[in-house]
Amino acid sequence: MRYIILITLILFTISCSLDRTNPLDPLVSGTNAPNEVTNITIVTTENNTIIISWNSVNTVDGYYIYRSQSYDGLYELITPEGIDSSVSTYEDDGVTIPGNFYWYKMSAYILIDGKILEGYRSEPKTWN
Amino acid sequence: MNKYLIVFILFLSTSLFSEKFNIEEFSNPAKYNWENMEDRCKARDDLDSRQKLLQIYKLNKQQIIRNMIKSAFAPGWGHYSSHDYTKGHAFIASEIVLFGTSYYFYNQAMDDYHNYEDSHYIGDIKQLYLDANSNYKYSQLFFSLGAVVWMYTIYDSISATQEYNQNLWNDLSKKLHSQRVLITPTSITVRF
Repeated sequence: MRYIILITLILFTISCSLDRTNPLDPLVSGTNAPNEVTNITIVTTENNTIIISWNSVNTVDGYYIYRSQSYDGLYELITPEGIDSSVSTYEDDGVTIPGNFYWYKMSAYILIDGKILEGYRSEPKTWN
Repeated sequence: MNKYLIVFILFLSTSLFSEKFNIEEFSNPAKYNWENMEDRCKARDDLDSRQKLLQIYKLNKQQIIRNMIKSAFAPGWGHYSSHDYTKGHAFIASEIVLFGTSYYFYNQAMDDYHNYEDSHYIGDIKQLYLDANSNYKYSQLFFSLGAVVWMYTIYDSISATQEYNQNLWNDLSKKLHSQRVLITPTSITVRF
């Protein structure tokens, strides 16, 4: 009997969960997060800039681009204002090449009640 | 009128059939193995000492309910009162560990939960919620265990108090019987 009370009490307490209160949580808003950005292509130009292009993702409000100097390093958001969803290329002129190597990640975002919900970030990409 | 008559008859019949109190048999010293006056005095001294023992016991014994309240207020306190220091240490230490761990996980859960609430990246939203919930459940689990141990502490203080009282009685009895010379304000008793 003692063990039954103990097990019931433990099961009862561990069955309690925290409420999902983030309005951007898909389980709260009922809106799915944007799909991952695909087909990301990166090329360098003669002007020592980098051009990134990608396939447009449907029903998104914009894109973010992140940059790092190593594959698994810290990725810095280089487009904090976001890139308009109608655009599918971006020229990064804040780089110093040759001599440095850069990796990029991309994500798409949507707006839910004026707040940004960012989708999954892509795998790191660089030029060949 | 009949009622009073019946009551009167019943009263008479009870006195007729009741056993007569035999004062001589009651006061017969041989009944108590008292051969002489010395035996009587010994018996009286023994009774006195037992009464004193009982008084000392009553003064020093622990009340179960009081120790239960102490344990309910602070786990282990009831055991400390019953001089069961090992259990008292064990209970208070386990409560500190269990509630401390619960508090640690609760803090971790709340940190993750606040980050979840502020997050706008889907990866963080999903991961932080899972982390927060997992830590919250650990916190609840340790809290429940702490509560169970606390309840057990209250329950165990009953047996600890009973044991203390039993030991107290045994010690007092032992002291009384090992005392060869007993000095009281009215007499000196020497045991051989």
